[in-house]
Amino acid sequence: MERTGPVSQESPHTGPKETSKKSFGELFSRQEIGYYGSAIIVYFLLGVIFRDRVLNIGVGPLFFIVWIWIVPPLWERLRSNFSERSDR
Amino acid sequence: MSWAAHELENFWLIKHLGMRVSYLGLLLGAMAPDFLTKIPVYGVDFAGIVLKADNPAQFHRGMPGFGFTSSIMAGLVVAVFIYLVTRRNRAWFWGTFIGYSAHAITDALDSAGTMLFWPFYNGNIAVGMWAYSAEQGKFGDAIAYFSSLGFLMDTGVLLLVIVFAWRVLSNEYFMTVVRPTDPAWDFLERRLRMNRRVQLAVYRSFFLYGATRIFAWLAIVHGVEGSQWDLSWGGPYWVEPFEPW
Repeated sequence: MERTGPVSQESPHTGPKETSKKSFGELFSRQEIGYYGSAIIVYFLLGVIFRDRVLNIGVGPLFFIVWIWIVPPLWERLRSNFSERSDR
Repeated sequence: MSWAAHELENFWLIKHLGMRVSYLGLLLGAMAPDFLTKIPVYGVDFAGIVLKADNPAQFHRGMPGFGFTSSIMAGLVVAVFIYLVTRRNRAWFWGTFIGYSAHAITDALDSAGTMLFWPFYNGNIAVGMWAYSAEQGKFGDAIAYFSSLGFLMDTGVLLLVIVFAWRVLSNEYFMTVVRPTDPAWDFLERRLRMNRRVQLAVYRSFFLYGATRIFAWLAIVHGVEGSQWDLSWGGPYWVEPFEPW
């Protein structure tokens, strides 16, 4: 469950104690790593091919935002379609 | 100038500053010093009209020129403006001021340096760790930067974030520390209907861009172009030594 409440006054900059103690696996899900990891690989390859047309401050951050906006729902839809077909 | 440090250092700062600052303010501050100067420094050909500074170093970092934009005082002026625009939001004020100052300090590490203490001292503060090479155009600058100690600057900041501040990239840190500090995220959610998954992607995007950009340019410069390394102080050797104006 997401925590959206205010940060404790004792440690405003480091966040709640539990965040600073959690391991990598507890803070980043496999699914999340998959989506972001695939974005990094695709952006790296596009960058090497298209160079400055892609590796600039306009396209770069926007690429990652659009990827995370579009790819996870698309992937989930593809997965559900595939599992529906295999169930039939 | 630095190629990725400005995007990456914000993530280390937000963790270790010891005060509440707006991440978006840090980002705005870190991007602002080069906002007016980057295009004329490298030059652009727009429908046959070439816009390029005669002396990129002086235009970017000197006087006469826009050197004063890379100073702590300019950061203070921009931060006060942002403070008023955001209805006196202190997190935005400090974020903008610290992000802007961090950019000016980081750029002082190259051979041209920055007018860090303008208007009290009009000379440039320059550590000279790597050669300022914007006059070689954007691609030439990339080759020089990623063949010199500039490369170590970017990878050093990346390592600092990965080793000492990696938790700031988590969803939990974003939701419990970054987001509650800054009302702009609520604005994005209400007005632009941006869901929290995309807000998190916006927050992480400049880190991912900065980090991936380092490795993409390294692959281009050394893998594709076969450029030599020169990790000597003030290198690379093929860039003309910087002459103060």
